[in-house]
Amino acid sequence: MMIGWTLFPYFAVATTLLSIGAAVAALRSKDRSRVAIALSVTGVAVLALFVAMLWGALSRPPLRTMGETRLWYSLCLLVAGLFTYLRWRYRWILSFSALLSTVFLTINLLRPEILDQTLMPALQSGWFVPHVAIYMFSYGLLGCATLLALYGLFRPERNLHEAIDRLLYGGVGLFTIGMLTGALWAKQAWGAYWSWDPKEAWAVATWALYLVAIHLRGGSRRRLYVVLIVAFLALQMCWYGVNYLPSSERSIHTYNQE
Amino acid sequence: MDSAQRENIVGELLAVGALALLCAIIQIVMGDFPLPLFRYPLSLILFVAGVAMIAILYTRFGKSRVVQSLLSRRATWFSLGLLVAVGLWLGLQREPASTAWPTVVALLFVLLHLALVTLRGWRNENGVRWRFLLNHLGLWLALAAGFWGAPDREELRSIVTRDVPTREVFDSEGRISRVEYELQLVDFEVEYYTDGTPSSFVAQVLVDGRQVAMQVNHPYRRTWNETLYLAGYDTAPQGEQVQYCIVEIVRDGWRWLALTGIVMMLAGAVLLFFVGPRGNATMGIKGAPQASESAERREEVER
Repeated sequence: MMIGWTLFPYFAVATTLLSIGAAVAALRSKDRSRVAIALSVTGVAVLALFVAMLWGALSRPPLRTMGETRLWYSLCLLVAGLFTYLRWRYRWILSFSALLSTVFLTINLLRPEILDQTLMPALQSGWFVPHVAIYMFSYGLLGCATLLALYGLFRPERNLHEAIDRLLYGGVGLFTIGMLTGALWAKQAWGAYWSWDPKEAWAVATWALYLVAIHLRGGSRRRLYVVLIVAFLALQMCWYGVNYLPSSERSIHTYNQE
Repeated sequence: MDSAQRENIVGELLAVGALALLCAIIQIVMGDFPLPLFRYPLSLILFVAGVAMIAILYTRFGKSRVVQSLLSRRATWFSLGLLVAVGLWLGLQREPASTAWPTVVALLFVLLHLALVTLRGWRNENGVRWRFLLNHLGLWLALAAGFWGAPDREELRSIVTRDVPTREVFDSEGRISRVEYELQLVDFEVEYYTDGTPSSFVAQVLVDGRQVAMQVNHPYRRTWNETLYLAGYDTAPQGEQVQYCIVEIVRDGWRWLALTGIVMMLAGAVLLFFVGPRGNATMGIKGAPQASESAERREEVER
């Protein structure tokens, strides 16, 4: 049963090294670097293999605990970074996505959650995997958009609009699907589409902030960057910050507490 | 910014301030919004009246200063800001005040603005803007169903035992009433993981003489607007017989309107993901935040 997590350090280190290698290769190359792409794809594949093994070892989808969602987040972030690199050829994006995904993998190395194989009946639903997986992919895309926004704040001469728009639309689309699948699931499990659970309330705040970003047309780029960064901070509250709020006492989303 | 525009903004700020003050006073004097007063058929009448009023407002008074203010970009920012505020406000509280006056009025404003914007933007000279329509009308329907349907939603719980059939239910405030059919527990099976936490539980319940298997995530829909959920059971130690379970009866006819909105938004969100920003190159709606500039145009504007 523990096979999955005991092997995690090897996979985490391998993925980290591969994505750092890809980042370096991308930085050193003027054009799109094949080496960077190959290393990056391998890094993603290694981490994906680990997720698949963990899924098998736990005999349930590894999407429940915070540690498991961090794992998916790292994976999705690497995929989003690779996609952005392939599509827009920003040399530095792989460094950022590698750095951020390494942070989350390191948290998992320091605070692994290896003991819990159970899946309470409330989570045994066809909605479980799409609801969480879609959210994680959305967080990955939005995380990448945030990295671009941070970069843009300090390098205002760079034109990042097209990439940011693409990531933003993709991320917000998936975030919306995540919320709606959650609403449909909640109706089936608890009888109400929406009950202003703290996580749901924070999701509304986060979603509305991203809608502000989507509705920003014209005006300064700086404004868009700032909104994206604020929205991403709200997203962190929504994802795990709510667990530390007093209001989490009444939360029905507490499966993931550490 | 010309002086007329500045005058508009001052007027808007005054209106918002007055409304906020009014909300606060009503909340302090009267307490929460009196939801039960607005039960069906009043809820339905108010819904139809609301839709009619918005339509009249848009078609007959579309050029008026008030409607123009309600349709402005500023109103969009304000609506989204209200949603953020409502989210933060409800997300930070231990007891969610979703029926407090400020929440109700904020949602009403969002609904009004969203409806007007949808009426203005659902088509342009190139035809119907499907993604815009799905996203905006979908959100409006989902919100409206929750808003106007809130007084009609009933959540009743019943303790269902093995020995005697029951008709007794109680609501969230503990008031007891009776339903027109009987409930009785026939059998209850629990399975456990090796660490002792339950892995599944199924209740066999007689509902009006018909045996129904009830499980979390598998409710029983009795009629079009009434669904029965397994909400809990006596957590007897492993191996002992479970004596009772708690059945929650949810009556919610507006769910179908909400579902329509949710499905529309799902389709709209899928389009957001796959089509991306390019789908927004829809010209011709003056002042609409969603409209006009494609990425290239925007670059020009900024230079």
